[in-house]
Amino acid sequence: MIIEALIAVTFLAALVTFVVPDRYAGKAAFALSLVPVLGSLYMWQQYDASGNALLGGSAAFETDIVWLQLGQYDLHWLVGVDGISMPLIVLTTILTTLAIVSAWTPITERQSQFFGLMLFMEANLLGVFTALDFFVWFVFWEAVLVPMYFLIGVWGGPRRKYAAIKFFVYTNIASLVMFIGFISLVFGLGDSISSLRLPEIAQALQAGQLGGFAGLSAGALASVAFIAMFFGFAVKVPVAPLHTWLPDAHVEAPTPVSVMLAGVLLKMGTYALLRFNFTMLPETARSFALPIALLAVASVIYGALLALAQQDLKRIVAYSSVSSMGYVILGLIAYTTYGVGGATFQMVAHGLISGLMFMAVGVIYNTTHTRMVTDMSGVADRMPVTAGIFVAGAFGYMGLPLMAGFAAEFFIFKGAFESTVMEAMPLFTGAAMFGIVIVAGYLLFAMQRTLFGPFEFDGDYEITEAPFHDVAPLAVLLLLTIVLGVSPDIFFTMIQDAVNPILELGGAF
Amino acid sequence: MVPGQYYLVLSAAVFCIGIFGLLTRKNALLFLMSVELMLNAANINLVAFSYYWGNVTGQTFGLFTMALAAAEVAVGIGIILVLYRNFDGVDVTKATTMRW
Amino acid sequence: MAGILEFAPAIVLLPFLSFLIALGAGRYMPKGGALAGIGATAGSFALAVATFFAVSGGQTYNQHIYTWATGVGDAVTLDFGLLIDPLSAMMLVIVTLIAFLVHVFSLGYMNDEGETGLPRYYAALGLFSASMLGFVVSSNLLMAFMFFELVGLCSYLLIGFWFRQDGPPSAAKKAFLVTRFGDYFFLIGVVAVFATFGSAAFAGPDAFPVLAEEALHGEHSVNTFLGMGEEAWFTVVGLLVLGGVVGKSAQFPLHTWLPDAMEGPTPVSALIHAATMVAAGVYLVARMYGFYALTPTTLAIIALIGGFTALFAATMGVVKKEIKQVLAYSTISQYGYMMLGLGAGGYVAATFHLMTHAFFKALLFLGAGSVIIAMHHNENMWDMGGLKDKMPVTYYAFLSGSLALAGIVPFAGFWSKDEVLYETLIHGLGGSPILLAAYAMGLLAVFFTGFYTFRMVFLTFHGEPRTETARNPHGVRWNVKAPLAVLGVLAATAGFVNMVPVEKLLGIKGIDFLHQFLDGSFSSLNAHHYAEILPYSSSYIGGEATTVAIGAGVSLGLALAGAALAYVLYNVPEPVEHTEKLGSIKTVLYNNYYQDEYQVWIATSVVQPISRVLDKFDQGIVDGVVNGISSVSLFAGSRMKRIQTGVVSNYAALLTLGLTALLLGLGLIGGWFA
Repeated sequence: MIIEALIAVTFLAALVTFVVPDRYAGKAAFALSLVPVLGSLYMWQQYDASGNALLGGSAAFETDIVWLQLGQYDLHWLVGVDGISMPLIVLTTILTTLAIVSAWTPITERQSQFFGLMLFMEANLLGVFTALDFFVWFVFWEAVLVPMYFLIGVWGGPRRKYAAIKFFVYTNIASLVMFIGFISLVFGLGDSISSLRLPEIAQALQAGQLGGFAGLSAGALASVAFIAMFFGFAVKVPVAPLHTWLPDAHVEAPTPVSVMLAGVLLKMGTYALLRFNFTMLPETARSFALPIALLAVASVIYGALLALAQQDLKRIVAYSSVSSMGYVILGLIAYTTYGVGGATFQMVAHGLISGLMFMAVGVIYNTTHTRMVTDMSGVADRMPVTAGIFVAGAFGYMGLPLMAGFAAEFFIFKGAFESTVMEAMPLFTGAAMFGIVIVAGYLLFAMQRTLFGPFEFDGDYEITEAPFHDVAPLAVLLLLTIVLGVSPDIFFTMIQDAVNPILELGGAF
Repeated sequence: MVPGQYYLVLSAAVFCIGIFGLLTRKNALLFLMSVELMLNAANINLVAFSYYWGNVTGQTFGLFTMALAAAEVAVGIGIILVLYRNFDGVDVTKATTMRW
Repeated sequence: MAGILEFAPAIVLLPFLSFLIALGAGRYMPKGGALAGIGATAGSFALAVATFFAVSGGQTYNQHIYTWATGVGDAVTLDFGLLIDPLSAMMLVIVTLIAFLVHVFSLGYMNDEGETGLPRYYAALGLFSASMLGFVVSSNLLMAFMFFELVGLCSYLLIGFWFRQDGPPSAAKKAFLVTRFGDYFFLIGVVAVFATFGSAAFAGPDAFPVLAEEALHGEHSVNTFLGMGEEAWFTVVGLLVLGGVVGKSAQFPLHTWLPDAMEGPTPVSALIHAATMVAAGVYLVARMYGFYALTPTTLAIIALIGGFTALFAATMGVVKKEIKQVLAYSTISQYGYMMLGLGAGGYVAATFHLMTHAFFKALLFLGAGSVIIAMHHNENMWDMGGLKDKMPVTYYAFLSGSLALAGIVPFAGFWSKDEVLYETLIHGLGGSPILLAAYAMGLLAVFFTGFYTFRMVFLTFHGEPRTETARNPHGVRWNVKAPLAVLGVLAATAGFVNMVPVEKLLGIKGIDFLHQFLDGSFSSLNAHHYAEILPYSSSYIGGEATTVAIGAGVSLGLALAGAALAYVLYNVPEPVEHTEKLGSIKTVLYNNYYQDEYQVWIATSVVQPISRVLDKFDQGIVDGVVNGISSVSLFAGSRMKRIQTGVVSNYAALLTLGLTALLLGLGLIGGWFA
């Protein structure tokens, strides 16, 4: 029942925050958000799952109740946690709390609604990462969009409406396509399943129960469903060329929302790709190895080159997210322990580091009221602590060893290089790895121009060190990044435990 | 005994008169009247078939329709009054402010 | 002494501790945390010396100390371990000694000069030492890579120490970026080694050089990729790792960052050039020499890169005006010699040169630092002159280093450089024309080295003072002089540990101590083993002794000739620039053969335009399609909505028409009109 309690408490926290007066809302939301943090840590401590929740492993804290009957299918309330979702739950709760703290300074109106929506989003995100029934999962999946839409559309920058609508419509259309793909699989399975529980569906697919549907043979149906679901999730990830909503959303969203968007929302896409496409249809995935690897490499290199062309710090980090998420796709398609495990690890690592980078940009923005690289120079002179953490975070992003990003990227590269899905995987891996050079290029350029050199700033604002509550979340994230980089085993063993069953499907490595 | 077809012809005729009025007039009051005619054309059908089948359900519905027509007139007159107040007349083609 | 090697982790951890102390509490401490760093590196040095003697006594240490990532199921576990053999023990002593002296020198260069940000400086210095020491004791390639990268980070922080100016941040960025480019290949190499051998250990039962050797003999099967045979694949892997070496050791064509890195504080330059970052590359090749020795192609490429870089950098050093620039190019050139030595099969020779170079280059940089303090941070040699009498300690120490650098007998550099060239010569004569070409380049570079070294000495210390500052230099204190004195002695004497020419010529057995030392330890990691697997054979001109004599004589003669030319041109009271005589070559040399230009051109005129075009493409085409779809929908809507006229009669007419059409349609389908 702990998962239900976690989600319920978070919803309750959101409700309470909605009615708290504006001036106390930030502090209240912070205090309330500590409850899910403690809850998730308690879950982590009590965690006893083994194997993959979809493939016959035992999920932790599982609840399975029939709560609706819909024709042939029972709708279950099925939630549970395995090695893939546990790290993401911890990431979600911690990052939400830190994002809430980082919102104290920039959010100056309608605070109670803002913080309420943040908590509401957290509750739905927890639902996404714990639900193991398609219906329940889909409800949470879609419900995440709603608070996000308002968070961008109400508290965003000058083009917030454009960005919010673009984000919402783009991802919603993608969800629709994904839904069609998945439901066609369900129809293809016909009578062999009696509910929409993901484990049941995954195991039925493994058992070869997929039949034809709508004039398609089973194989063709699997391919169509795979492509439809891949498209749906790829928009969320985002994979180039489906990424254009992301920079707009990031640039317009206020900093804490960017943190959540980059830190957790993008991981929904890769998490779902792993859970649905790569777990349920492994053979189809292998047969699409070439195009998927191409997309991954394209995302990495294209995203990184785009980041190189940007002048807006937030756009730089936004495009580099596209680049980093490309690594995840590369790791997933590798079908090796280190590849898929590293991809999952990268979800957490990138969540922390991109959150750190967005927050650091936000702290600078709070003071300078500009994010343009060309507008400032030598900020490190006035904001030494922030600049120091910015530099550390940027090196984390570049994959500095003993920080989480390096661990994740190395795992992915190692896994992808030795992958057997394709003869040419070493070449793809080598090509994708060039991303680490470009990422160093644009981050170093950006830092040199904004942080270093003689202090210059044209605005009317006094540039001083940020207040403690702005810097503290940065420091916490930096610390977590280093801890996870020094000891990736914290999550990596449980991830591998959950990932290995996937590899055994269809003669894996 | 009047054949059933006659009722239908009468009903169709009344309905067409109603439609004709609806399409050609601009006066809101005439609109209302035309609508009443169409409703009553339907009523004729209901009553005629009720009589034909020896089943009172149709007549009951006829009564319902009359009650509905009365309510509709009350609302319609109200709308016409507002129309008169806001657009200086009862010409329905002038009240176009709610398009796109 | 049995357990001294158990304390080896402390050698790495002590400087790391000083990093934490300086970072956290440096601002509350006297001297900005310098004392923590000095204490830590002194402790490390003491331990390193103890380790060195323990290793001399035949002890070795190869222990797993930390599991970084546990592999579940069939996956490989990634470990950290400590490998202490003669090579790493020697390097530990060098690094800790130089780090200690640099810390002490920094008291004079940074604290006494009233710099701000000292805690940051000492923190980075501590982390730099710790990273390098971690790299030195790494037991596997992955751990080596990780510390290799941390070394890169620290160099970034230290080169860019004066971040409020324009130059240092830019130089720091360049240093990191260029070495990153090399590390990109290195990282692929690391991944490839794991994929090929399933292990990246340097020593022990699953050491990858041993596995590679067995694979070539058909005793062990490994994974190769892309349809390559084993030797071809090993060559590829070796070259990939070499990418990182070329970047960090500033070999052609990735040497461009190093001269710019002079923007950092001078003690940092000494540390970077003598003992840490730049040495890391060459050390890595020596560390996995058992792997490189298996592939002749890789060795030939290493030798060629080394020989070419040695000559190439030396020519650029000839025209430089700033004392640190001359030293920078000499560093590139000297590391070229080490690469040459390694590529030519002279493992001991290259290691020897690594050691002697560490001493005399640290000495030269610290000496230059002393001069720079005296000159109030003016680095232009043309503004100096006549400092010999004003600062004798610096002068004699600097002279000792210069003699070593130029390779004048009996200073340290002579012995090591000569051995490198000798190994190249005999292996080249043994049937490798590439080595002979590399030898020729290396030999020619000796002349230039002698010339630019003494040009620098004469311009700085001899003649008449050419500026007011030079006439009246700022004094330096003990904390500058003491490190100079220590290193000055070492630069003069370090060569005696390995007097191979003397041994060969006079037949005195057993004075090649370094050879004996490096022959100890793990059977797969000693010089003896490397000599067996090397694909070279030796051949001599006349006898062995004759070859030794000829080789030493020629290189000494060339060095003296270079020095003599410098003497003639610059050891005059009022020296003038002679660069005009070089004609058009001068411009090429001043511009460093346009190496910077083409790299900057690639960055700014190729990559940046591409990224801008891609940005336009992204905004225009990719996002254009998305926005286009939305525009089409909006446009369709805006046209469709015209149907809504707002006139009730029109709606009524439409309704009627619709009803009629429906009735007609139903009628036609239902056959009412048939």
